[in-house]
Amino acid sequence: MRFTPNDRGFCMTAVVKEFDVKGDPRKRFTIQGASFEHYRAMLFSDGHIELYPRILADPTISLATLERMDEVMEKLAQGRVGQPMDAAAMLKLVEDDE
Amino acid sequence: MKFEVLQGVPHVEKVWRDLMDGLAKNSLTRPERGFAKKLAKAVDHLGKNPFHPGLQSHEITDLSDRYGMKVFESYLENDTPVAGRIFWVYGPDRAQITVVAIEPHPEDKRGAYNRVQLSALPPTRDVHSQQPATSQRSERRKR
Repeated sequence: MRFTPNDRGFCMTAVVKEFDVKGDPRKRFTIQGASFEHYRAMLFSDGHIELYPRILADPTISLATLERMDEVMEKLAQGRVGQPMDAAAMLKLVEDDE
Repeated sequence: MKFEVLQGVPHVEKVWRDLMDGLAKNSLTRPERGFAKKLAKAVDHLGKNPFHPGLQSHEITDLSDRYGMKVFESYLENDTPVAGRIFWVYGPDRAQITVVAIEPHPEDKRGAYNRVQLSALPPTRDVHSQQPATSQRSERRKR
């Protein structure tokens, strides 16, 4: 057993595998049997490296979309909106195009 | 109840206008035409029934908190958020809906990786000590 740090303090985890790895000429290492797809890597000045598992959060909105939405919402608050979206007209143009 | 679907200004209006112009001039690429078709169908559904099953409309509470009004998200393709989604709010008047954002935005050629967020906290469970679900079930059966 070993005490390892994480964001919530220290937790006790079992070492299930220990092995030596050698970097390739471009100093890349292969970790076999990794349980997660994403890791947070921390490289320390004394040469040791730590990896912490990460999972993908829910898909979120891109920053660019959020900025655009902020602007649209500001205009909406002022009562400024555009014309109605004529879906039938667009569908007709798409069908004519096909 | 039918709704009038309005364009948010300036961005949604611009996207809609560019698509309409492109279709009229026959200058859209095949994926752009596909996107226009999906968008038009989604808008059509939105006007007839904002909670049409194909749209999978749902409130995004983070955005509702941010803007102080309910913001909903609808998918352009059933069960496929990456195919495109629209964000909308009720208003400004009764029986009106305003589309406030369209994603993916045609101008978003780069920066897709910005959308990927990793969890702030690593999982605390010890993954190595967990057995596959099938072996857990068989053990329960033995007991």
